[in-house]
Amino acid sequence: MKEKTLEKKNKYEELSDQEIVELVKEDLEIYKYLIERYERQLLIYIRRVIYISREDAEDILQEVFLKVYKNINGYNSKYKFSSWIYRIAHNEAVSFLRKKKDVEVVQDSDVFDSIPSDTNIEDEFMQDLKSTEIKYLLSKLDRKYRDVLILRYFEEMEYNEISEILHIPSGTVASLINRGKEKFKLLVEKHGKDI
Amino acid sequence: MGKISSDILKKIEKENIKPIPRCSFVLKNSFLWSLFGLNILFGSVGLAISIYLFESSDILNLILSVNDFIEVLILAIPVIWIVLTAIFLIVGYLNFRYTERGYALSFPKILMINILAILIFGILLHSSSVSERLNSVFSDSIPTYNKIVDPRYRIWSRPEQGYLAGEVLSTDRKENGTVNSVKMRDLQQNLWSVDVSEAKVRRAVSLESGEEIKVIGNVVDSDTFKASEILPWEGKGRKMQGNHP
Repeated sequence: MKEKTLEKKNKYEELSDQEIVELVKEDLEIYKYLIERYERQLLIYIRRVIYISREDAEDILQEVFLKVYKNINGYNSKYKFSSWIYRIAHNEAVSFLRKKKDVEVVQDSDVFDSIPSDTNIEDEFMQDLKSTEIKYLLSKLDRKYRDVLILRYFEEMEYNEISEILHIPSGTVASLINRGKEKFKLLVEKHGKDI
Repeated sequence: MGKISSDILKKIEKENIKPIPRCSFVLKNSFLWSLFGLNILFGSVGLAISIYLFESSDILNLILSVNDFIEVLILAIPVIWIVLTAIFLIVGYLNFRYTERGYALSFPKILMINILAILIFGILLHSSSVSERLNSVFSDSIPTYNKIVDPRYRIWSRPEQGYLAGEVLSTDRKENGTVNSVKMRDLQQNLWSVDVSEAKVRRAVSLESGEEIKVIGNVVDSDTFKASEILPWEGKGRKMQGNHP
């Protein structure tokens, strides 16, 4: 029985997002493979975009997956599924922030926990320290710059993907990244010379 | 983490959540594109009528014969239709922006597409005389349309500046049959005696009772106007020049 489930899981892991989406339309059970594929990265992303508690982020995440399921027929397979689901997550996060203006902002460093690091413990400690600093400095940037920088450097997205997520032209993405980097540099010089 | 997926699946099942049918998305997209098309169409109609009204304001005809050209030019601009065209242009932009891939184009690009589309269709509508027919429809069905929209009503309601227009009520002819003066009611319903004895009368003008004319000249006294040139109310009067018999 366990072997059968594992076999099934492996089977879906090999499928592309688009292929799973098509199957989800016919069978709700398959949706869990899509959820499992994206839940961790979206949870991290939501907490990077808006600094909230893990519980709040999980609530948003649940809403994201419900919305994705409801709108699954609106997904256009010509474009990347990841961009589409990130867009929904981004909108849900921003609308959560708008609804709850008095939301508690949290400062724990695991928000930026996917910053690439090697296995050296000392390096990891320094990396963690830096990630807290980076988070602090990013929070000082305007949202438009912060959003593109997070998508580009933390989510490692291409310009066209960022364009699809934020619904802005690719040219605007490029100029926002450049200007955002300049502003971030100024902040580093002013507040965080050690980064 | 697996808990989230099972919670979501349970919620979907419990609340019997179903995916929105594909046709809803197709309909929404078609609706946005149709709305965009309508905005372009209305914008083009606005532009076509603007061109028609601007042309029929005689501005091109008056260019060499008046000293206050800038003032006449400003009066000749069909502001309302231009504003309406601009509104359709902006709404068209917003429509386009909300279509599936509308965000991918920058503001100047979308604006240029809209302007070009309105320009092309507007000129086509004007050159096929649709603008003239539509203007007549509005003029016939909206009582104050002409006074508010038609720039001729602004240009030719300024007797002090030498511009008068209205309907010929009666004609006073000399013994040889040439017209000496006419009685006319202007656009503000004032009565005038217009001396046309030395006026250049366009060929299209017959100076018969009931005819609508435009007169260039100067005020002699409170109800007398000396005409130097008489033009037909409709049409630009070009290639119609000649002395009236």
